[in-house]
Amino acid sequence: MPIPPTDEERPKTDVLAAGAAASSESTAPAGPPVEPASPWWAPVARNRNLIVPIASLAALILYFGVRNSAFLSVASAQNISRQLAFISVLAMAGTFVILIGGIDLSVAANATLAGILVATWIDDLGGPLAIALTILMCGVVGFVNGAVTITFRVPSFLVTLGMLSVLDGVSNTISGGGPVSFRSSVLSTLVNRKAIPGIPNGALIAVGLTIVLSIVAFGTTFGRHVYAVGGNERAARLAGVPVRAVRLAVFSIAGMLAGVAGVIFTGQASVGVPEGAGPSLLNSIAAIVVGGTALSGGVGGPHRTLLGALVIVILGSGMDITSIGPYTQLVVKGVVVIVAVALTIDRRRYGVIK
Amino acid sequence: MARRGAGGALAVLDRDTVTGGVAVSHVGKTWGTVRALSGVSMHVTVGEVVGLVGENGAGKSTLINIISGTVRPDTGAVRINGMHAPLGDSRRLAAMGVAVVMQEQSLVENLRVYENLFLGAEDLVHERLRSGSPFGLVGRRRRMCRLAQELLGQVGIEYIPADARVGSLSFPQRQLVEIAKAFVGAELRQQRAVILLDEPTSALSKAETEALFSLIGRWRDRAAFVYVSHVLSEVRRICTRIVVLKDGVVVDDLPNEGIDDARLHELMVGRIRNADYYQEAAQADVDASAAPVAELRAATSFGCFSGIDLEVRPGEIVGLAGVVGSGASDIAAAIAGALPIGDGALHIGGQPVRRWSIRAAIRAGVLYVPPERATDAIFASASSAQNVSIGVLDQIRSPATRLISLRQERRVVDRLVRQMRVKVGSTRTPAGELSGGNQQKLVFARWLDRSCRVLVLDDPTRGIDVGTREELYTTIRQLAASGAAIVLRSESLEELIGLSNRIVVVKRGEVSAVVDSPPGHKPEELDVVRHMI
Repeated sequence: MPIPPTDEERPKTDVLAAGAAASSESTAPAGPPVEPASPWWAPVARNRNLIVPIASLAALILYFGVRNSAFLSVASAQNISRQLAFISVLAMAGTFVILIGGIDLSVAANATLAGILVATWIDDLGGPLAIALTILMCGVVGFVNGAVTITFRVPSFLVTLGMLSVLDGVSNTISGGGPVSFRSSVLSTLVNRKAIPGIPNGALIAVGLTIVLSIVAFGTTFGRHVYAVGGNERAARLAGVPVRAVRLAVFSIAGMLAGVAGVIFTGQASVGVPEGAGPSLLNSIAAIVVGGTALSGGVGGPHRTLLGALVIVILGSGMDITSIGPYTQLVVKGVVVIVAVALTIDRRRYGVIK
Repeated sequence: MARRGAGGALAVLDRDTVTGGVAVSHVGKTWGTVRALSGVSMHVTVGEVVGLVGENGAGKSTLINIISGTVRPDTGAVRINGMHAPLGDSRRLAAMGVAVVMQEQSLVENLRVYENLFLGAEDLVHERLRSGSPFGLVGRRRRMCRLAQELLGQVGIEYIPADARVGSLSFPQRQLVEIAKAFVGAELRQQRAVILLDEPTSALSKAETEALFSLIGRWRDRAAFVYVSHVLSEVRRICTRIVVLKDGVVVDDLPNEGIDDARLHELMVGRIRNADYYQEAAQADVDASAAPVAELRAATSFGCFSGIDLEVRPGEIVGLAGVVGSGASDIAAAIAGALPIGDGALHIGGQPVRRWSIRAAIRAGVLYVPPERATDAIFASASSAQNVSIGVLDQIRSPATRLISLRQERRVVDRLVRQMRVKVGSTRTPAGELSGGNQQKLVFARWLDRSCRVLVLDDPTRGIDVGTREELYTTIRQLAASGAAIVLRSESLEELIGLSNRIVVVKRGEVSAVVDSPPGHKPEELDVVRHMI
């Protein structure tokens, strides 16, 4: 049900409309378009979703570098790129779902399941087949998320919250509650070897995926449709966007990317762990919103998520190096997520904040 | 509560004031570098209905928002019933008797009518109930409800049940409740009210508009009215005085005597409105024997319309007239694929369509401009460019890679934006920052590059200023001249008559009349209205 805008909201939209109209009316109707007069800080305000993460990235590097020079070492950089590989791919999984205005809380649990599945299958099926099957299974999980959301018109956060629990149970059932070890070295080679000296393959995969997904987001009809659905679902439908198909595809892709993240994680750990990826849910959502993808949908993108993941990983690793306790870290990350959401969300879309 | 005490004291003072009302003096407001209002002064005393007219962006909304307290002016002062108004404090202003009825509704849908009527004034109601009964507040809800029904009766809409959920009422009914709320607030506070009506009739039928007007007439002696509307004929009918705003300045303040639309028009836009407003000379005579491009045959959509026959030929503009809820808007939506047709058939290009949907319609060249821009058509946070290119994504792909070519996109969007004369500095500007007229131009631009066989326009000029309307009319005429068949539904009868070749009047879901509207021999509004009600 659409919520009518509150009193506080009205002037804002009116202001924008009135402002734009007033500024444009001052130009001759037939004349060439003229840049509307706007305050000097308008471009800064408009691009704050990009400027804030870059500025905080610079600030974090400066701060931790000064506090402890070990932060700027090669070992530290490699550690960061290892973590970045997993977190950024996991966050990519959530990004498209958030872009259409939903949220997928099951990505981390899905990645955990992927880790268990690939560890269970890899010795029998061989590397390529095990990985492909795993990613496919995770895609099916995502498809189910999407199908349930659409068919029963349940908010995605609830469906995926339920799915989180389901996947947790399945992972623990398959693994018997303990780690699943395997002999194959395919995964480890794939993820940890350095095809380019100094950079583990996992990080390359993450960067490669970011590039591919950015092209999907901006260069394909599907990508544009994702933004349209997130921006205004009704308008998207009336403009000819196949809204349900887009939603289904987005959730399926989220599942498959979660699968990739799980495979990377298992490759790094060399063992499938049933609670392996669980705590990463908050980190992945933090990466998405810190990067500037708004929870309200329609704004942001995969390239932003890579940036956000970098901020989150550097924050975590910097806090490790400067010996900030794990409990304090939890507090800091929680606060970061809330602040990032507050900065990026589009309040015009919500009459009442619940 | 201190606030209640203050309100009570004010009420006593007000009864002593013989004539209340609102006086605005030298009010100015700047947004960023844009001057929305400068040095605006106006006054409305009880007994007056002052019409506030002007183009979009002239500052009407800002002025209304300043009086109601949702916007704080930079300079100037407002006096309500002779007392200094707390600027920018909408709650205290409401307690002083300022009530506002907006285009967007502010009722709580899952509360009942009486709860909405008394929202924010519960303490006053309780006081009244307590003083009127030996049992205090026993049976409070039932008695509140009865009181509400009584007040609804006084306002003249007793047929709306006070215990109905607001969500279960139709849109126009809700609008009436909202208006009633403004009156009830004043009545409860026993005050001279200042009632601000911002486009109150935009969703009302003729009959409901009449009811509103008689209400205003009945309340004239107890309230000062400010009436904002684009419908000049209404303003001329209901208002005692008319204030014309242009670019944030009052350009005229004249008694409503012997003014006609053309004169008002001239004041608003600063030029004379000529007889060619609807470009009737460009209206083509359509060969009645030509094959229709779009044709409804005994089409029925349950609960919306039934047994509709409708033909639209190339180059023809067919108007759909009807009161709100008559089904005219639904017929337009059904042709565009936005509403499923249950029985009967839709033929496009002589062929019956199967599995009709928005997507199928777009593929067949049936394009739709929906009625509610903000909710149905515009992606507010996306760039203006993306709002246009969403309609031509399949045409801006590079043939080699099948990917969208950003350069091609920019080229196409720039051309379309120029063609529609959208006033925007950069196409990267979010569409939500544009005025309503420019947003609507973006929606038109979206479809301009597609081969258009049928264009379905539902209230294409709602809330759009006169200058932009004229430009949209040019576009519509050009599209018709290029052979598109146009289905036009509009709230404005004048517009329907001016633009259409033929007007199909819809009443309670069925066609009640077809009125020819050839250039030079346009029907009178009454000829059409007669069949609507």
